[in-house]
Amino acid sequence: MNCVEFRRHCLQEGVLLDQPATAHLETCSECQRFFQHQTRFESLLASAMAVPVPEALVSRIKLRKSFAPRWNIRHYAMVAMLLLSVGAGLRLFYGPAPLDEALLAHALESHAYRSAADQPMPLAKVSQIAGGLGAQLTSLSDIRYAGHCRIHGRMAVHLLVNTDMGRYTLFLMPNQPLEQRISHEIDGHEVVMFPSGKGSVGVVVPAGSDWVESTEQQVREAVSWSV
Amino acid sequence: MVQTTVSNSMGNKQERYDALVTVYSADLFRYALWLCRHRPMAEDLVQETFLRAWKSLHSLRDDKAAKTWLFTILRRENARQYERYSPGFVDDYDFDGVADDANEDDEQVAQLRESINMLADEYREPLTLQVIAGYSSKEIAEILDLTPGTVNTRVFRARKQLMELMSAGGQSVVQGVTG
Repeated sequence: MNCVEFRRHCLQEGVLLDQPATAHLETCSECQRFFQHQTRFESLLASAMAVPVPEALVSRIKLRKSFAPRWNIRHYAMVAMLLLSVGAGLRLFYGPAPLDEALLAHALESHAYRSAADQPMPLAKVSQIAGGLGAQLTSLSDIRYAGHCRIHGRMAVHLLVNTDMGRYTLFLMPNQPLEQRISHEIDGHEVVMFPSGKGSVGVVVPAGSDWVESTEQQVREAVSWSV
Repeated sequence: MVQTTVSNSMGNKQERYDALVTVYSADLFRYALWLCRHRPMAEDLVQETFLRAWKSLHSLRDDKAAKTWLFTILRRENARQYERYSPGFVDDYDFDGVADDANEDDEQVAQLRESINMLADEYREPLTLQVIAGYSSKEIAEILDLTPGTVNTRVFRARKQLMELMSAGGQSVVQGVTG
């Protein structure tokens, strides 16, 4: 693969490189510079495409299905308006979804469309993505997905990590400060968040896993910040 | 994990349906919004998609095909909506979600959304399927009834145009890419 083919590949596939492209990248400093810009662009593109989803979308989908056989659209609209009003009131009262719920929702959503790689991602690529937000990772060797995402409107690094005991989701959030460690069990998952650098780190594992503590300890040791 | 969630619910239609809604509604909404660029219509499209999915859930034999099945239903439903309503609806697409204390990233994301909005439909749609849904060129080609080569050409041109639009707007992130 030459430089022109490599750049064309990037503009067709984003930053998901196949073997020939990866091999070219390792040997070409010009394309490494290009790839850095491209990674930044893809991060922005993903953020731009990920438009906010209406708060009560899932509820309204289920509601419409429930009423569809018996109600006409006017009845549905009235109930939807009522729910919207209640939802808006609750949202005003309680504010946005808590951080742990946002992390879990994002982790589950992402599983829906991101097929994790069959093999560990190259560490150089993971470092590049994490470094884009000022994070450094050591000793997390088997990462199957790494990308940027938005949590509560702030950029974060999103990772899927394989271990012998199972897979977990890791969020590195340089712009989400946290005062103390928080751990909650939500919908069959355990979400652990703790302060890290000027921001925080979130870990999402299946509830009841007996490897939560060791995972948290491993993550604490693996993550450091340059910001 | 999602596959497991959906597959475990195979025996129960309601649970299976709920799993599909939970897992795919957000992506479908984003796809719908970039298709029609009209938030109320996008939500209506997603609701209608799941209503149709509920009615014909028995025909979905393989849960691995659920995602493409839903995206295809939504795309067809969008075509029907266009037949019914187009032209003339007011495009009220907005850029909500950009924080009031917008930083440089937020501004670039906002400008990129405007640029995506300016892309021709034939370029925006395959790019949306690639970025939001994570589909390969081959999968996009099947959904859009194109060849993989055509899909590659369109996503290539989509990215190139976005970079040019961003450069024209003075956003430095892409100057190094296009330069």
